[in-house]
Amino acid sequence: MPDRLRKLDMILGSYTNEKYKVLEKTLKRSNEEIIKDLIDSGLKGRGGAGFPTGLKWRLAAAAPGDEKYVICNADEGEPGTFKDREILDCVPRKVLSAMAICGKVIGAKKGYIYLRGEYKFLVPKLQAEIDLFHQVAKQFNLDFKIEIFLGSGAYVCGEETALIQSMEGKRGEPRNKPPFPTQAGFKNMPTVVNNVETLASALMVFKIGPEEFRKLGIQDSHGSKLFSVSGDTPKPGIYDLEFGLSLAEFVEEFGDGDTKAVQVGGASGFCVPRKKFAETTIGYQGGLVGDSLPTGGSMMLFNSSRSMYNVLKNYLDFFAEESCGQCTPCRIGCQQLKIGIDAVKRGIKPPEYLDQLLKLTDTMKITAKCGLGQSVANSFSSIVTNFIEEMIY
Amino acid sequence: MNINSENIEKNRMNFWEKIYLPEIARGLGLTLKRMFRPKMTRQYPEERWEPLGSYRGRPVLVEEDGKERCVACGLCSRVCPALAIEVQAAETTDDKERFPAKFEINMLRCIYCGYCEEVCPEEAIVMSKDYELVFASQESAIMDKEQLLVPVAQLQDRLEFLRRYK
Amino acid sequence: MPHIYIDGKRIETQSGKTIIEAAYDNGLYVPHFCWHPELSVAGNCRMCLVEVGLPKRLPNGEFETDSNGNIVVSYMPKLQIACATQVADGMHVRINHDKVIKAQEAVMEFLLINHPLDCPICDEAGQCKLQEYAFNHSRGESRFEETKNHKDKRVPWGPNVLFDAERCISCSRCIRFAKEIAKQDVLSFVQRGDHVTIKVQDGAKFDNNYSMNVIDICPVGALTSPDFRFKSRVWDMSFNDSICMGCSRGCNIQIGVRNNEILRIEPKTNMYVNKYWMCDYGRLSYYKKINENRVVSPAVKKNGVQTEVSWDEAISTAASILRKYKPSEMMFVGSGRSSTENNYALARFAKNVAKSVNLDFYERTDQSFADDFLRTNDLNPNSAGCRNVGVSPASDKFSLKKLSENITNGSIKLVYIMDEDFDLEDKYIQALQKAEAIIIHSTNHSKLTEIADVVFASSYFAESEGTFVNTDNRVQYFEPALVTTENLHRMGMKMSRLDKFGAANDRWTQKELRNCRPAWKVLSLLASHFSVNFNYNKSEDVFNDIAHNVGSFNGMSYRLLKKHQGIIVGKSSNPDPVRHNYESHYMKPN
Repeated sequence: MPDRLRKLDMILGSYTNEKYKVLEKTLKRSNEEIIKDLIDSGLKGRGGAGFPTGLKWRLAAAAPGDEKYVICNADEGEPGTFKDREILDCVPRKVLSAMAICGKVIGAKKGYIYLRGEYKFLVPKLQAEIDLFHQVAKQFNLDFKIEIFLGSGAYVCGEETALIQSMEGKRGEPRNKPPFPTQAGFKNMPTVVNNVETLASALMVFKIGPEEFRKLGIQDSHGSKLFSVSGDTPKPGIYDLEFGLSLAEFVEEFGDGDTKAVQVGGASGFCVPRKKFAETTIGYQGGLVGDSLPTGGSMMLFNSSRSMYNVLKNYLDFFAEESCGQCTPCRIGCQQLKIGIDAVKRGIKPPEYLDQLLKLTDTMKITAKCGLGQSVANSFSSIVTNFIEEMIY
Repeated sequence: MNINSENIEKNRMNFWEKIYLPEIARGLGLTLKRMFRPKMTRQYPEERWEPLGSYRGRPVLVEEDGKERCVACGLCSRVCPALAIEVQAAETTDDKERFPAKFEINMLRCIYCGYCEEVCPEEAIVMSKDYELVFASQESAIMDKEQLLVPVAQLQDRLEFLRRYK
Repeated sequence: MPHIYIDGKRIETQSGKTIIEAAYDNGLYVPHFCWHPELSVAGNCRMCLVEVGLPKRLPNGEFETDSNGNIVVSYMPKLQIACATQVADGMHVRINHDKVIKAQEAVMEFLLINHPLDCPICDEAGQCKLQEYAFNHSRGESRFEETKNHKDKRVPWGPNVLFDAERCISCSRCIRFAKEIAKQDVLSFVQRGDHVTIKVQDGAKFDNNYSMNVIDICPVGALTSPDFRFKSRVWDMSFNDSICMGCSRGCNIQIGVRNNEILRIEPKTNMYVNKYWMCDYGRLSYYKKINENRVVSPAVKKNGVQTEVSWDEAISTAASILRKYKPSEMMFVGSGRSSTENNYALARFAKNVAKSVNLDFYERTDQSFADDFLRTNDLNPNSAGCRNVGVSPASDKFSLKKLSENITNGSIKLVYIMDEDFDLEDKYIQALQKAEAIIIHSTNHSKLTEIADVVFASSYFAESEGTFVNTDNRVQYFEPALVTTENLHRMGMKMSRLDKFGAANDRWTQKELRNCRPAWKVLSLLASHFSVNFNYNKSEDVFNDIAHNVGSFNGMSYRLLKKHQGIIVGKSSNPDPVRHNYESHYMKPN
């Protein structure tokens, strides 16, 4: 097994018995030190977009506001990801501690966990942990309360501003940015919205120190990452891997020997064909196939028995269903892509029509309001360009 | 004044031309020849001329399933250069939502330009082959919806023509 | 002050403004659907995408220039929406640029994919933003499969608004209007993706006082008015500016006329009075009165029977009646529903010709009508005008309230009523039946016209020009919208195409041409019977007379009133600045 492919077990490591030691230790430090540690560690958001976490906390800390909020984004809706569920199930204390630290740093007294509606079964256990946390917080003289907020199953509510809208009791639709949530988020107050894994990783930074954390990974992508491995693989599951892994190495470890493509980052990510496995690494730089890929941690492997047309059709069904319908390009674009590839497959439209559809995804990329509409282009163009013969015949 | 006297000289008739008789004979010869050819004239009104599909006669409304196709959009009225058409729309529970409660063409104003037919989005007003238009009064020249409706079966020629050339 | 460059043109603006506002203030137009200056920014139509960039700076802080000495601008890779992007000093914006035009075309293509394109039956056609942009900002043809989505049609949201979900482009203007302006937050998007539609909350109705404004701000024909539906195509109507007579707010309106009949009333932007809005009452209630049951020619009671007569005869009869009574036996009643000009002429006639000081007008107030937005409790559009030009009794003894007593005890014998029906209150009708003589200017037939000795057919505000003074003492000018025999020559070219060119044998021009006159004209003719020359030939002469003689109107003229959209009484030297008004839809000239 190559060196890079060790399973670090940093995040999901046994931690349930830990009595909030790291929290206690970190709370004694100054806010500036904590933020500096985070920035030094190079930790980036684990939700997929990769915004530097330290910077986000600093912006929220600097923003004026009577009340501030910390929101843990546990609306894990990306097809092919299932890591947040496990984190909240196995090591919720890491997340709660990190939220408390974030609360201290930015000056928030209230934290929310926006839990995906389908994860309702986690609530009793999580609530018990939160009750325990409140007791601990009292011991530490920490004024920070955490509440669970159950989502209602909309994919777009994983987008931070839509999530905030949903929490305010409004229809879950993305807001215009700027202002970003760090300026005006929940109830128009500065708000930090962090992914579950980001918070858990942040706590790792506080535990092992930024230098140790930084040693892991490559250039701009530091630390380790949980990968939800699924698809045509003999060993599906969640793996804690270091950044910088090339897809070739990954496929060698997890593939069934016949892998023809890997969908990195779920439906809104990229599809990498076999010929590009070697040149693709997993990390935050770049973003195009051939370079390293940002990812929310979903790795779907497809072997040669799979029709990539069906895969794409499936994604587009998903997007057309989950588009909130607010902005024009996404509302109509998703529907047209869906109808379009169907028409080409059935021979109603000539194969050249796919070029039109690719142009359409380019338009969606520059005109759509939020990440949903913009990222449809990723999977669509990477699948259509790499598997064009499967689209037509 | 500079009149070319040569031309005048040339145009001067000679003797045979002056007495006309040869020309009369030639004219009568032509008449005689025509007498044995098929006749070109018709005995109107007993014999009627049936125009082709391209003929622009009286504009009429297309009637389909006992109703007018027209949705009273008013484009014909807008485009009519002679302001001959007046439409008043009203609401119906049919799929088309809208129908002409009143549709009048003032045939004294109509100039048979066919713009109304060209602009119609529903192929609901077409130029018919009807060319016999006589009115006893100004009032009777204003045709209302009932007078304008013509079943679609009678307008096939024109609709065919429109589909091909419009 | 920060400045930005739009397509290379330098524009001065204020910080905090968005690009679209800065552009609009300077007469530049960014196409948009969902943005409206009075509503919050939604940013979901994506039509106003523009290219935004800042000049590149060299490490020493200076601007980087290319070989020609032009500043190098680094444009953002993604287009930004002009409605939500705030201006920054030195910002460069490109509107007419390839990338932007491509994006606009793409958005238009998207919007048209599910739009039913039923313009022929749509009331909005002719003033529709989508239609207009389809010509100006679209490719002209679609590249995609067009199996249109089917949604609900003709859904009543409330008594005055119908919704067609297929035509809707989900701009959310109506939702934001309901929440932010009408304060009735009952509208919301439901469903997702391309099934998205707008619904009224279960059990609720969209029935607030201002509900019909959503029809105006809807950029397409998704919202229509059941009152106007299919009555006329907009290009067949003429639209003339006027002032609403529903209450004393004096909302600026446009009157839509076809066939000499008012079909529709809609607000006209005046940022100092009604902004972009007006109430449903103003739109729906009184225009029917103007269309129906009108007094169409002067009449005189002969042997107890009212007979239609010529104007000359009616006026000389009125003059002979007036001569019979002493000044103290006459009572002149002005009207808060009549123009300032008419009231001034009445006051002048009463004081200078009839030498009477018994002058008053009928006040209509209804506390329940007022709300905290536009509606006021004074239902007369021109109470302030009456007061300003002196239509008020010299003593309380001869006020309108005491009319009944005064008639009964014989101190008042002749009542001269101008454009007033007292809302047909029994109290007044019964009192007036006892009066010896009644001369009345009336617009509509009523019990009052039956008992009058002389009836002058009077023009409504919509048939004459003049001014109203609103509750804030703002003098506002209105122009005629309907044709009468009186203003035929003036109005000829202001009518719609059909009305303009119709001849006698065209049935569409055979709607009533009323032989009615504005009161100032009748009063001026009446005065000449008493050898007093008012010198009034047109309404403007009356207003110039007011401006000359009434101190607070000094310096005003029709021209200035039109230019400044009204001037507050006493402030003609310092009127409100002229504004560049946003119109949510454009009416093409007919």
